[in-house]
Amino acid sequence: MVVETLRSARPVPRSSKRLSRMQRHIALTGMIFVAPAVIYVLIFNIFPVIYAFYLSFTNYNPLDRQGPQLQGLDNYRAILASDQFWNALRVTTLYTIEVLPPSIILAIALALLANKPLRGIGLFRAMFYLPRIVSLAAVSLIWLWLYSDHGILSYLASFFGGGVIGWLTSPALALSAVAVMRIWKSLGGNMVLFLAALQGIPQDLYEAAAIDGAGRWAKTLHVTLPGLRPMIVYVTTINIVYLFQSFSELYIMTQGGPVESTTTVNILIYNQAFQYNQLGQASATAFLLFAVIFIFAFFNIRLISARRTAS
Amino acid sequence: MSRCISFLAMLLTFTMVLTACSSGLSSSGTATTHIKVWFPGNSGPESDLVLKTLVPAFEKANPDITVDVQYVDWGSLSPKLNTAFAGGIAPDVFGHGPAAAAGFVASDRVLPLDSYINTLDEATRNDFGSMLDAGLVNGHRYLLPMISDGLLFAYRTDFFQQAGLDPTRPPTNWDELQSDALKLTQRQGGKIVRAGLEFSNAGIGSEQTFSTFLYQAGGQLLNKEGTEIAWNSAAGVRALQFMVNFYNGSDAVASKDGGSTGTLPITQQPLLTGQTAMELIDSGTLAGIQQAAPNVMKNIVVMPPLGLVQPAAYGGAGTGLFINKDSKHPDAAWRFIKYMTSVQTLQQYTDVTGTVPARASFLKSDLVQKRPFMKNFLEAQAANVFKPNPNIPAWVQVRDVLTRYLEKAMAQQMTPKAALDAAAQEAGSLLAKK
Repeated sequence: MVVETLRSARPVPRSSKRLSRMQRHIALTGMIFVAPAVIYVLIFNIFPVIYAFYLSFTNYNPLDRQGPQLQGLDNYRAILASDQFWNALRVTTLYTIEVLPPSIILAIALALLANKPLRGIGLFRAMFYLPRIVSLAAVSLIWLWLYSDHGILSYLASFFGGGVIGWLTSPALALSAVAVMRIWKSLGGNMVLFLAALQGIPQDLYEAAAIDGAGRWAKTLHVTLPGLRPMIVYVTTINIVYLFQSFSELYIMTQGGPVESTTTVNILIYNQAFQYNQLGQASATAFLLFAVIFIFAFFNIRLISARRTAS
Repeated sequence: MSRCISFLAMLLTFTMVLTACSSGLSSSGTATTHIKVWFPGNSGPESDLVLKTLVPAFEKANPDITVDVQYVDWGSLSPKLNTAFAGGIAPDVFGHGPAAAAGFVASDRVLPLDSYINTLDEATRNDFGSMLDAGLVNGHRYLLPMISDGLLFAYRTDFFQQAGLDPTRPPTNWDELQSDALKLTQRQGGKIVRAGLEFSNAGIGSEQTFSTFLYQAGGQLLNKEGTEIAWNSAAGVRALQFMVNFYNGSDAVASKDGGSTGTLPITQQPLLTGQTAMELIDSGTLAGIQQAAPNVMKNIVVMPPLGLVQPAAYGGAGTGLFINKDSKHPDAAWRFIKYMTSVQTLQQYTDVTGTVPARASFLKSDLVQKRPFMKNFLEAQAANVFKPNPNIPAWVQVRDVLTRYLEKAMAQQMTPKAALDAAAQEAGSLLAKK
């Protein structure tokens, strides 16, 4: 605030030599305040990424006394030639496809409902937001029990004449079963974001649309959805990034099985790094995953932004 | 400025005084050695016993040694150990399974224990028997086991009676196992409501089950040198086909939807819940059932090991203790290991954990009266029936390859022969690399 006041009072000189003592003092104070955050980001965010990129070209095994030895592109070649990587990428993509559209569409629908001035709407919002504040690991353990032979889902299946269903043990069902849990878990968070966006749409637009004779459906289509578009871009992108990195729920509920039907790229990375001590290969896989996420997120933003420009 | 310098001087003096007070001197004035120990697991009763009873007793008997014990969950043990080794802060002593030995040896991280083991008297060495060979790599021993483990078939005597079978005459070979399982299976509307037999058919459990049948059929996972895959032999195909038949086809005795028994909590174990009449099971699970449901346990009996060519089962030494090669106090570390594997300590330890001690003399102890199911495990151990996994550095990766293809065969995505051949080809290249 002080800096802004000074700036508005007189232009900031370009050369540091021409800074007054007061300005230098202010600049130094600012740098000191920013330094902890910058140092934190450098040590815990930037350095690990650079170091992991370096490790991806090595044969690093933490137990090895020799330390990392450079081996060029061998890790990348080995991963790209591995069926396990392509299977894991297929599973990860499938999981994202199974989770993303329902969690966005249902969250918008819930946000539209939660936006109504109804009695008890606060409770409704809180109820749907609740799963968001519980840790993914805890939620996964609860759903593990729900899906077990002795869980309520198996009980209901038996009650209606079906036998035990192998929700998490059948290769055909396991991924979808975990996806249902993940959709349920993500609904609340997405709903709140869409609710905030809905409440940011100017009321004038609805009034203008009503004067033009627009009905409820037309208002939703031509006012609400275009108004939500920036939030849809944000939520979709963030969800793509998170879903492509899925690990905890799958590791807890299925450990990547049965028959690799739930082995995502992150589970593969975990196994390479912590089961086989191949940190070099794990780093290379992580950078390939980063590239995939970047491509998906980039095209998602471009696609939705292009539509926005066209409209 | 002068106030700041005075403060720093005071801080330095205070720190030096504290450092002097905390030097390696015991209350009696003798030098003390401090060792750091990591135990795997997260069992409350076990850590209570170790931390509150066993370690204080050791420290009392050895006033020149203090022990700092930490429990590390099995799932986090390898990552934490790797990080600690890489950072030079690994514990002096750590517990791990024998399968980890070859990897640690290849990385020069563990101390050979031969010179220490040779100081044990003959009676003690004989008491450990073949368990001493756990963690044997390149002719050197790197671990002293505390417990042993293995898989044996257990059955429900009440279900045997219901099915018109004699509960005192369990199956003694594969044919009887299959025919009894069929008689014990209960179906309702075409669905199996009680399995005749269940075993771990997914994850690591499927490899342990396969190994059991493979060894019984006279096969081996790898050749003796550990350099070539041997599981895709005729014995291997026969063993896997035998496994597949239990869960598939018109004569299936268990439902694939029931999941793998290996990962289920004690209270959901099918032998306890009555969802199966027979189960390939380990001693720890049986001990858990005894604690959770003693009334059910009265009806559970362990069979002697089966065999097609020879009586055999997956198993061998369980958790044992290693010494970090960089430990500055290997002698103190060995004294702690010797204490933890003594008969008196193991008696208390296995009493609480329900595990099978790695010493044959327990066959004549109160343990067998207290937990009758232990008898068969201890006898199998004494008769060298239990066969461990190969001790090679690439084992974890090789095992995961095999597990992947075993699951494919169990799900009938591949025939047993094709699955074992494909697994051999993929794992063979891993062995060649190492």
